[in-house]
Amino acid sequence: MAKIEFHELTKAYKDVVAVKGLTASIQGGRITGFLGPNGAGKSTALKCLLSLAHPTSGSALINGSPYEELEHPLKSVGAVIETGGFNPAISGLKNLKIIAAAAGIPDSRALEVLDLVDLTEARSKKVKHYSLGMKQRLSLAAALLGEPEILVLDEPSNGLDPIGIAWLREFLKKLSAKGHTILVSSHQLAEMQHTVDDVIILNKGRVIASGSVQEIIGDGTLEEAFIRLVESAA
Amino acid sequence: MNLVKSEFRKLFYTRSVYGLTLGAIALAMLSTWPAAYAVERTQNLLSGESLTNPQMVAGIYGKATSGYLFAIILGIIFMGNEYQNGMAISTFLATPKRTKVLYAKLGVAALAGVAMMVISELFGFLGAYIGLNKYTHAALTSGALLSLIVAGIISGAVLAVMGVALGALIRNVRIATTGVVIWLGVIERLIVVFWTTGGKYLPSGLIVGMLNVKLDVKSVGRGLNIDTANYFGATTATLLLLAYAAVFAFLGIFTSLRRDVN
Repeated sequence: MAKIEFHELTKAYKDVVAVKGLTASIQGGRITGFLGPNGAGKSTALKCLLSLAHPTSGSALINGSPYEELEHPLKSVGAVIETGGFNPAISGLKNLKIIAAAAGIPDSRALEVLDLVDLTEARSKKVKHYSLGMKQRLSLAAALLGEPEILVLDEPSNGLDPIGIAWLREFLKKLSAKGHTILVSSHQLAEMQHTVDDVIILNKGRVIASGSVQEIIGDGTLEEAFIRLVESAA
Repeated sequence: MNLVKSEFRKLFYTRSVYGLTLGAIALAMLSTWPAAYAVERTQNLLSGESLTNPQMVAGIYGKATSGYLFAIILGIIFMGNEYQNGMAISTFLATPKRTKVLYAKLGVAALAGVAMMVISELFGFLGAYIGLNKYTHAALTSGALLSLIVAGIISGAVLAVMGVALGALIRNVRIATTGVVIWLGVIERLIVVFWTTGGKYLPSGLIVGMLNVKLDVKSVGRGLNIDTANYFGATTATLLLLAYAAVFAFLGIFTSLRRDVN
């Protein structure tokens, strides 16, 4: 099973330390929630994991290797990082074809993943005319292009309406049932409680709690546990 | 090859590339067509130089290389869009080895710059031909034509590469494009004309050198003195322009490797 590991990961921007000695392990075949208040360092840690940002020290590894050293990155890991990443002046399908070409994935796969995320009808529409929810679905489609075993999703439910959120939950559960490893960051704690198996909670760049959802929440809710843990760590 | 294919798709899907090519064509034609009339009618002001001088004719045809300004803008847009639209995220997720991406992008940009220059030069030559057609004594030698074509091809490739590097360094397409238009379109041209000693080292001055046109024109009573003997010869100018490309390519790659993608 695929595995993600952070070893003493630190990322500093000039005087600001966004991630401080983050050490965590994400088990294969499970959905892990990556939680924390704004500025906790979640997105920065995920960018380091995906070689989009250079760690100041420590490492972030996927199956024992940095992302940039994976032989077929898109076929190993699919990622959603923000809703950008696309040329707004061209269609969703053309954007996916550009990414597919770079990874040596056939164009036909672009149509398949658009169908998977219910964007077939909007495939020829320019991305600048997509709603935020449609852009999120397009990001998911791009993440699925290489049929990866691992998914790294940064706030994938941003901009989705309740129906979209429910769709995403079922979608992730289906992928998890097929053995995919999913690391997902989100602020929607009630939703995460029903979606993820494990959680890692960050505050000010450090891990303040990790474990299965049941271990973390006890008899309460994830939101109650989250607020309690963040306040006690402050 | 996958990366090259992906970069070509980015290029062909970008509508502004076609607009830039049209702009290069328009500039090349507007630079050559009226030049023939201008030379013939102002020969009394230009120390007697006229279209009987084959070098003057080559100089008019040489204006067909004016489209290089659009080649550098093409490079800027090609790279700057990656950062401005956040496309760099999907690009570097698909190919995290950034050096490979930059090599592919520089190569495709160079080819696109060459294509743009060849097309705009052909239209520029057409403009010159139309403008010079009624002057039966105006003729272009095949050797001069070859020099002009080679100069266009090299300047297209080099300027597009420089554009990619500037796009990587500055990232904001609008600022980079405006800066380049002001520099190459105004400041550098003034330096090249009025301060040849320094201007000959600048890309525009080197392109003038590559054209291999030998002119010594003094405008009567206007203080203008254009003596192309002050510029580098074609070979030296070509080598120096290629050195510009190498330095800019290095800077573009170096910056892209070190930078975090946000």
